[in-house]
Parts: sequence; structure tokens; C-alpha cells
Amino acid sequence: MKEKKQDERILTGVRNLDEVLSGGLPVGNITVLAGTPGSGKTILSQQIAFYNASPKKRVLFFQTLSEPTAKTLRYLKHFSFYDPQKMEDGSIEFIDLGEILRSEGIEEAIELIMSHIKRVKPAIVIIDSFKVFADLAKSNQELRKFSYEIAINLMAWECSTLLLGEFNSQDLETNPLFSIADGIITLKHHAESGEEQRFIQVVKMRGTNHSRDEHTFLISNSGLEVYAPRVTIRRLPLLDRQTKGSGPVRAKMGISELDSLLGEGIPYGSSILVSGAAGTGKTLLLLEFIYNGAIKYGEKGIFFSFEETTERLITNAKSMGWDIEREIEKGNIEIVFIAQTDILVEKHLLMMKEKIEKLNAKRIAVDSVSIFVHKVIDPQVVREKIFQLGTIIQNAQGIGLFATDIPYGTNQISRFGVEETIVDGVIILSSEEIASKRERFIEIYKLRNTTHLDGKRRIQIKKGGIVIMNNHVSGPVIKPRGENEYFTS
Amino acid sequence: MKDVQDNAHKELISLWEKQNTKGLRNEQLMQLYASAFGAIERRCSATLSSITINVVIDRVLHLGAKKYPFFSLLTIEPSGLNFKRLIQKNENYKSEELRNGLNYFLAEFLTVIGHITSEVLSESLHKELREVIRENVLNGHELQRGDE
Repeated sequence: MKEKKQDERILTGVRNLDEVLSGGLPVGNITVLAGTPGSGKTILSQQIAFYNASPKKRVLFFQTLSEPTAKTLRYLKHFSFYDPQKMEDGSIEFIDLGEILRSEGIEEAIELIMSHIKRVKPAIVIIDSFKVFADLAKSNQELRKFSYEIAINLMAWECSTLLLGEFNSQDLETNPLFSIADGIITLKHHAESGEEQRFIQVVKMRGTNHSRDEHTFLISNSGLEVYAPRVTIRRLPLLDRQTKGSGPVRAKMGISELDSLLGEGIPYGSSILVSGAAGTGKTLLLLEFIYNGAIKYGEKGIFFSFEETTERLITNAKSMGWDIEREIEKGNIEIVFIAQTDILVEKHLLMMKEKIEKLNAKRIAVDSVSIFVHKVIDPQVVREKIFQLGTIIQNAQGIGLFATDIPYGTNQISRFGVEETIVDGVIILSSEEIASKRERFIEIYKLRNTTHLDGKRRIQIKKGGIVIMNNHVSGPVIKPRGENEYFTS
Repeated sequence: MKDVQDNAHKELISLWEKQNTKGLRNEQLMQLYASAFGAIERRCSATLSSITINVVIDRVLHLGAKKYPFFSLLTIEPSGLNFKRLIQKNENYKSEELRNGLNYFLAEFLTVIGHITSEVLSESLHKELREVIRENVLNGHELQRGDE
């Protein structure tokens, strides 16, 4: 059977939007950008315009009554994608249709639009706002005729077109303008997870296998940045060393007797939840895991902290006798601190992915996932975000330790009650007051596909790191390697 | 991919010209092209609206008008493209210029229609062109000495 070729696409130049569109906007499509005022339509269209414009691929940007052209140009200069050269050499032309619309009406506007198209022969045409035509048309019939004519003209001139408008969901169903649209992209903002967030959704895009989800985005002076972890974070097939047995398949933790508890080691690609109440040693365990990886096994590590600042983590490490600063300088370890108040889950998921890939980190600590997703209310979303985090770890073929806080005095092993079902293993840290002394414990609660020692063991935190004591509370005594009675959970 | 298909239109027209236009006078050449385009236009209008076809013709004429000024004599009417004024005026066009212009018009028309329909009509349009044979079109018109 003949393989079908994908139609030519126009890349938007907007981070992750082309992935959402499954390759960009199809050439020649008429796409409606619908959204309330201030939702980002104009900025998105300008960003696409400047990304694509060249003397061979010209862009015509028609302004109608919605915003004076002078105002648009003034704000445009604040964005980093703005390139004055592209306006000087005519790659982009801004044309004001306001006057002719006010004085002559929509019929004459078509003629004017077409005269500019014939003159410039643009690859991309943008009309901001197209809704004005709907407001000026005397009847639905006139609007339908106008839309049909302009659609045919734009098609015959092979223009990829963006029609912007303050359309609402009812318009999508009833406005005749939408009958000519090959694509509809909506932009909106509403409160989610306790914050006002912006969302973009590709409602329709002929000729593409696009994502239909709503995706969050931000507007900065670089323009729009779309965060679409559902699209961009997908599990990859297992790497060669897993499938063909090349290279080490399992990692050592390098922490006291923990490797004896963990049997043959943790498979690369695994995510392990480290749960415990405050003060049980989670941060320290994660920090030691990262530090030992660098100095004992030559594995690069990255520590994402949502609680302790980089400076405090370095000070803590120093107090344990770990020269973590030297490893940071050598490029073996990176600490990334994001204040709780600044967390944007989707944005930071992608940031974590990129940082892990850039460093080629094999050890990843997240302190803590409970803080990372603390604004998310829906347990299903929590589950999805932790799964995506696990996917990042698996794709990087690293080992991820995710700290999670559990409240004192409960039987929970995670903050939200869903984390443990997604990860590959759970290590529980706990503490108890015994004979007026607070004792700390560690327990391998679950570890998929790995034999490990059962039971709860005392730990001590001493200079040099965590020490796992052999005087167990429950479970078998740790014996020399190879002699332990491991079991699989 | 697009270029390959664009070339396919041009190659077909070249072949068709080679088989049909040798030794034709300007008037006969115009007659032949009018007939060829008429056939293609009729096939198009079975699928596409007349507005679409006329807008595409307008685009092709607009883009070629500078190089081929005689395009201004081709008129777009509700029934389609009319060659009448061009043929009637029958100025002393340079034969090569006329040939190139008509070739350009046909090739560009097929190309644009191809692009906007993802080439789904191209095979049918090629078939229409192949079926336009000079003997049928120019029946009754005097052929130049030496022809056939």
C-alpha cells in the first residue's frame, strides 16, 4: 500500500505547540484563534508571523477595528521575537482595515484585502479581529457570503490564514464564520489548582492528528510557551541495556547497608518513593544518594528541591562531611531550587525533563513530590503528574527518588494515597520514641521486580551519612552478600 | 513531493504540445489552447464551484500579466474563461511568446488546482488534456502547408 505523505506544515515557533498540533499548522488551512480579550490571541499570531516571515515567505497582518495598529506595534516591541528587520524588508506588513470598514463596509474590505494579497503574494495572512466582520454584517446571509468568498480567495492564493476573534463556545456552534474554518484553536484562562491559569486547546484541525486536551501556557516577553506534558512526556521503548543486556541494568545506592537490603540493586528506569514524616531523614537520604552516585559510581545526579534552598542543602551536606560543592563545580551534581510559591507543575515538569537530559543525570532526587503537586486538588491529576515524573526517569534510564511527606500518626505511606501505586518501589522512613529517645527506622516496603530484605531496621544519622543498624526490629538479620533471604514484593 | 507533482503538470503539457502544436499558426494555437482549457475547466466545474475556478484563473492571470501582457485580453465570465477577445484581436504576437504564455497559463492553473485539492483531481485533468487532439479541434480550420 502506498504510504500517505503528511501535508506540508507551518511551524508555529511556539514551544510545544507544534507537538500539540502533531507537526504544525497545515499549509493553506484557515485557522480561527478564538478567545476572550487578553487571552493571548494577538501575541500568538504575531509570534507565528515573526517566526515564519522572510522575503520568500511573506506575512500580511490585517488589523480591523478591534485595536489601532499603532497600539499593536507599540506593544509588539516588548517581545523578543520582534525583529524590526522583518518589517523593514517587507517580510511582514501590518495593514489597517479599520478606516475602510468604518466608511465602506465589509464588501469593500474583501476587495482591499485581495488587492494586498495580489500585491504581496503572502504565505501567511492574519486578520485581527475577524469578529468585526460578523458585527458589521447586516445579516447572517451576508456574513456567510462574505466568509465563503474570502475563504475561496485565500484558498486560491494558497495562504495559510489565522482569523482572530473574541468568539465564545456558542459562536463555535452557530457563527457562520466557523463553517469555513479548517482549524479552531481556543485560548482561555480560568482558575485551576488555586491559581489563575491560561489554557490553549486545539478544538479542530483538519489534516492533523492533534491533541484534543487543554494545555496550560504562559506568556512572557518571549511570547507564548505551551506546556503539554501529556504530549511531550511519553514512555519510550526500553533502552538497549534493558532489552539486550548491555551495560549495568541495576544501580547501587552506596548508602550503608541499604544495598544489602535491596538485593541485586534497583533497576535503572525505576522511581522510588521515599516516604516519611518530617524529620525522618528523607532529604538526607536523597542527598547522600546523589552525592554517593557522583563520588562512588561516577553517575551524574540532579536534586530538585522545593523546600530547602541550594545554600541550605550545601550546608547540610558539609555538616555530613560531603564536599558537594566540589561535585557541583565539576559538573557532576546540580541542585535546582524552586520556591513553593513559584511552582507551576506542567512548566516545571518540562524543565525537570530538560535539565535531566542536559546533564545526562542517572540519579534524580525530587524533594518533595508532595510539595511539587501540593496545589493540585484532583487525585487523578496528582496521579498523572507523578506518572509523568516517573516517565521522565524511565526515559532517562535513571533512578528517581521522590520524597513524600506523610502526616504523623497515620497508616498512610504517601501524602495523597496514590503515589505508591505509580512508582516502582517504596522506602518508608519513620521515627518512634523509645525509652525517651527518638529512634529512626527504614523499611523497604515495595520494590518491583527486585528481591529485597523484609523488615524494619534502625538507622542512625552520623557524620558521613546514614547508617543502617543490623539490630533489626523485624525481618531477617542482614548477612554477607549472597547469603540473605531475599523476597520479591 | 510538491515539486515532483508540479513538474508532472509541466511535463504533460510539454508532451501534449509536442504532439499537437507543431507548425500551428498563432490563431490555431490559441484555438487549441482555448479548447484544451475549456475541457479542463469543464472537468473542474463538475467538482469545484465556479467561484473557486474563477478565483484561481484570476490568480494565474494576475501573476502572469506582467510577463505576458496579452493575458489582459482573456476575460473571466460567469461561464468561465473566455479566449474570444484574444483570438479576435489576433495581434502579431511573437509566436514563441504566445506559446510560452499559454503554456504558462495552463501549467500554473493545473499546479494551483493541484495544490488546493491535494492533487486529487490532477489525474482526471491530465486525462482531459490528453484527449484534446488537434485534428478534432482544428477540424474546418485550415492547417498550414506541411502539416500532417
